[in-house]
Amino acid sequence: MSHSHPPLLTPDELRPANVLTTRVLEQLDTILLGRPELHRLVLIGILSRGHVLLEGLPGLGKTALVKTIGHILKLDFKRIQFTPDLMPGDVLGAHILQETAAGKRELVFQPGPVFTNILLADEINRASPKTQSAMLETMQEACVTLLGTTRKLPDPFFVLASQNPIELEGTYPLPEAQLDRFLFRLLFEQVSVDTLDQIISERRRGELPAPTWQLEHAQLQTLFAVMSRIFLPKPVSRYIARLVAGTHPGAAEATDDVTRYVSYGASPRAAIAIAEAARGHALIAGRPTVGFEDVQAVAPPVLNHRLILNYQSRFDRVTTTTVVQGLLKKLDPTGLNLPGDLQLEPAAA
Amino acid sequence: MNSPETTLRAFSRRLLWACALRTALRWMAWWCVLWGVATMAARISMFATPAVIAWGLLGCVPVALAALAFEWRRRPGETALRAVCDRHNHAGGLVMAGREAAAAGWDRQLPALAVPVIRWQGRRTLSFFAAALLFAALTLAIPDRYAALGRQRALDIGQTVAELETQIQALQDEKILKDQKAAELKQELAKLADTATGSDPAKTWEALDHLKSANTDLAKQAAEEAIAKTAKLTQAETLAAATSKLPDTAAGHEAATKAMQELASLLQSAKLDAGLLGVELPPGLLEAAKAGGLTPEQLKELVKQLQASKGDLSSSLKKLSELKLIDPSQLGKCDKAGQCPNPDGLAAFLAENGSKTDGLLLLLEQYCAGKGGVSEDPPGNTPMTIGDPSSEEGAKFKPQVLPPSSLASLANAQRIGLSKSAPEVTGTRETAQSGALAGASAGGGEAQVQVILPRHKAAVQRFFKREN
Repeated sequence: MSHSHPPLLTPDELRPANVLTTRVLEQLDTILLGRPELHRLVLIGILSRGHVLLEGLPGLGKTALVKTIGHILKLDFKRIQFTPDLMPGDVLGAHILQETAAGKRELVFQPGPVFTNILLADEINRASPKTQSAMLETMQEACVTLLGTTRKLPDPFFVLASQNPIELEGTYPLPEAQLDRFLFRLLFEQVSVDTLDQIISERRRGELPAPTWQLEHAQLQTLFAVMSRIFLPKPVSRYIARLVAGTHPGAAEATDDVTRYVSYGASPRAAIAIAEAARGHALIAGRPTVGFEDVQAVAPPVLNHRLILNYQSRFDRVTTTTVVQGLLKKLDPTGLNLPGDLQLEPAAA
Repeated sequence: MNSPETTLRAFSRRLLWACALRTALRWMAWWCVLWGVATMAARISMFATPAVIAWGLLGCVPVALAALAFEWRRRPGETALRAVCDRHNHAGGLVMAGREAAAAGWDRQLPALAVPVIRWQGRRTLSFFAAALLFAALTLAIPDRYAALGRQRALDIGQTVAELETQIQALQDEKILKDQKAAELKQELAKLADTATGSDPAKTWEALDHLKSANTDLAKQAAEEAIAKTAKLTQAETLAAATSKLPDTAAGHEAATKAMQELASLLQSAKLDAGLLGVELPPGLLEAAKAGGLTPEQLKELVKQLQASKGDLSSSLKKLSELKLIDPSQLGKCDKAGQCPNPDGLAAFLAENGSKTDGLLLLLEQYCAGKGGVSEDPPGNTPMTIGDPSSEEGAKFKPQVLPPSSLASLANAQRIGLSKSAPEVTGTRETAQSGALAGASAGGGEAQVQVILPRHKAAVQRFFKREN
């Protein structure tokens, strides 16, 4: 049989990368208790070179997660506490007039905190739109342009932003253009009683233990290289395309919820994000190819901040997560479109 | 991992059969419904017998084959089959990728591929098929007597229609009915014969009765005309025969001329060529008769023509009578009207009175119409004698009592006194109630007094200004 694509990663090529991801996750799960699935998604976001928006109530460990990630990945880490009076220059950096040794005065660029590998944008929705807009270029292009000069940001560059869903007074909701630049929006839920008990018992004053193992920069680059070789089969890419098209009201495969509650569906950037995130999911699972289950695992956090719902959804208390879950449930990934009375089931073991 | 190709082939085969079975059952169910309806229609219309119709059940075979071909054409491609197998075996894209990229080394990592199980919830389809099959079987098994209930029973009006057609044709032949009208009636009759149903016979019978009545009325009218024309022809024949027997004298010639003119007048006033049964006489003879110059040969020819015309009319009525279009009594009347009395009496009368025979036609009418007298001979053979008019002496009239006069009450008036002046009119004057003096008071010597309204004044003035 002749093949149209290069051969898949062999098990020997994939295994080291899979081991690395497993170890990163082990570290995360050890340091931060009770959220293995969330840790997995954050790691997928990093492997996909995407930015992650963390949303949850205060005290749930958003900042701790970002700090821990920075420590484990052994990357430069900076934090900006967004406030209403924060200016773009405070984020990106500014030109400062300095006197040189020769006695001349010249403008010297003083890099802002954005020049780092991992940027924690804490409570990002508290900054003014002007400052939020300053993040657009950095998030999409990984560079900063000031006074006509473009400066590249360190590689890799991730923004892990957090926002508080309550205390909305004095906040500025993120514009859609900026929300679309986040690969995932991850919701921090309350941890279980067992986890709380474990935290109280094992963590004095809640201090986090130091990681016992760190990922080297070269290893991270290896992971990125392996990621780029994860194969996306044609039926899966078709499924992603149908899924994203189905979020638009009026589309052929749109569900009733989409038609009724969605004003605007997801952009092509969402389809790209799903494909990339699914690759990351497959890598963590130790597979050289993306399957339907990878797409179904990453689709909700990719799509839940990209759908714009109408007012009717507020009245009916319908969220984007509900709409996306309904779409995933209805859409047949294989596209076989069998009649309703014919159903396929896995063969009995 | 076993070979994906084997699994894919097995899955493809099973999927095809499942889809084909499902579609075939649906299509066969529809076929049974259609076949059942067709069976009902065929049995009601007696188009085919149940034994013949039963062969239609074999139509399920091509329907099933067509369903198989249909599903074969729309069977999923290898990519879709790989996607399904991958998903249901939790292969994580490896089976799908096998078509596009080489997956060396991964065969041992995956468990054996199993063919996905196809579950068909075919209760509705099966129920539909069973119901359709039952329906088809019932339509086939239903007894003939019940199937006949649905048939539209034809109304047997063939004999009536044939009779009416003959009548119309006869009327057309006799030129009583015009060709165009006859064609229309025949067309209407044919339409009636086609559309006559037993479910609504009243309408058909009503239409037939109407046609029959129209024919009869027309024939009756023609018969009455024929009788009248025969009577006139008889009168003319009698007069012509009597004229031919007049003596060859001057008085005879004078009487003949007068008789010929009367004969021409009679034939002209009879309007023999008009009406439903037209009679045509040679115009030359009529012109000669009008001039009073018919020769003895022409008179004989005229008598012959008149007799022939009477014969034609009689034969026409006989034909109508045979078709029961007219009452036989009318044929009798016609025959009776055609019997020519002895022209000798009339010839003697004409010879005796010469040209002084005013009212000859009236006389001729009476002469031909009645043959009075009672004798031992068959009725009608006794000659009728025309003499002086009978006297009214001794004739009794029925007394009629006239209404009493309104002034009769004056007879009972009493004198109450004499006055020197004119009598004083009291309010209780007797007033005439009717006649020309209606409204006039008695005893007052006054005429009728009537109030004339202003709008009638001019009319009254015009009345009195009349010359006569």
